[in-house]
Amino acid sequence: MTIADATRPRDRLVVIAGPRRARHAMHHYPYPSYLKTHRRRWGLTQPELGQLLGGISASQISRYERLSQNPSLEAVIACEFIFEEPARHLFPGIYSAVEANVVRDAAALAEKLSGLSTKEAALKRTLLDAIVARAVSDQTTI
Amino acid sequence: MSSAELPHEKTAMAIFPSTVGFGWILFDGPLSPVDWAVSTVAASARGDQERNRRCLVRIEEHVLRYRPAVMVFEEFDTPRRSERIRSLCKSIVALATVEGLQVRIVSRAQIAACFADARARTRHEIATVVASYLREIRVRLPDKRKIWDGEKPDAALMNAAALLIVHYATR
Repeated sequence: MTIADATRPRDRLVVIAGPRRARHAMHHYPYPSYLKTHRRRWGLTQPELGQLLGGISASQISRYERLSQNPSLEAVIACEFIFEEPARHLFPGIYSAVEANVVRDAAALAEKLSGLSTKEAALKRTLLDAIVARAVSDQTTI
Repeated sequence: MSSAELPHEKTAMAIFPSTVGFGWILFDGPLSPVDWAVSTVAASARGDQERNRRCLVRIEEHVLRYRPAVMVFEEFDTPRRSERIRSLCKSIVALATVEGLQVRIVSRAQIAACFADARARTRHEIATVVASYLREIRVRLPDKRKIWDGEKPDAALMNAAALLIVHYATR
């Protein structure tokens, strides 16, 4: 019941590596957006982050943080670059929604290709099966 | 950043009322802060009840926005805390209960035991250890309070963070 208990080996990595590596692949992301967390981690204000994203207004940054509006592709890539965090960690809500759609569509396409016995169809099915399998394994580790 | 789903079991929010308002911090896992702030609520001419009501309105906003699985407080039913803060904490606990959130009360003894290895005993020593673990809020570590100084607002944030470290360490 000491502080050592709170800093098990998994968490010691957090302390040693600092904020940039604070969350690892096994971390759960229960909230749909972590943009505000990363912005505040580095002490950036909304206008400052807006400036880094090419002159976006502070209110737009606020909308991105609350996900009342999905960020543009340019903004997502810029955030990845700024914080050195993959988009799926910055915006787990968007990632999960897109992933679910892709998996559903992949399953539908695999079904459509199931009757074909060509090499191309087999190659495509390999990819589609991998997508579905990856989604299942990623369910607990966004 | 609202969570419409059921609260994730690992999320926890600590609230530490102070003389100037309250500090709060949300974790989504051990040593993983998601959001944090110190809310200043000015004293009201209408008295302590009105001030507590304003605090409660702001706390409710945070609670409904993040829906943490657990709300963590330091033990408040002691003579160490003022009547106003005891009353506020009881109201927050009632709010958490109504919202179906778990409530955890952490004692001063549990905090002392948790930080004993780090040889931190006073609130400032504990805050210093907390700041060393959480780089996100390190800049908010207040200077050591002089005996003639009042409590620094950011001390409430560090106290709240210490509560969550104890919470995850002793679950």
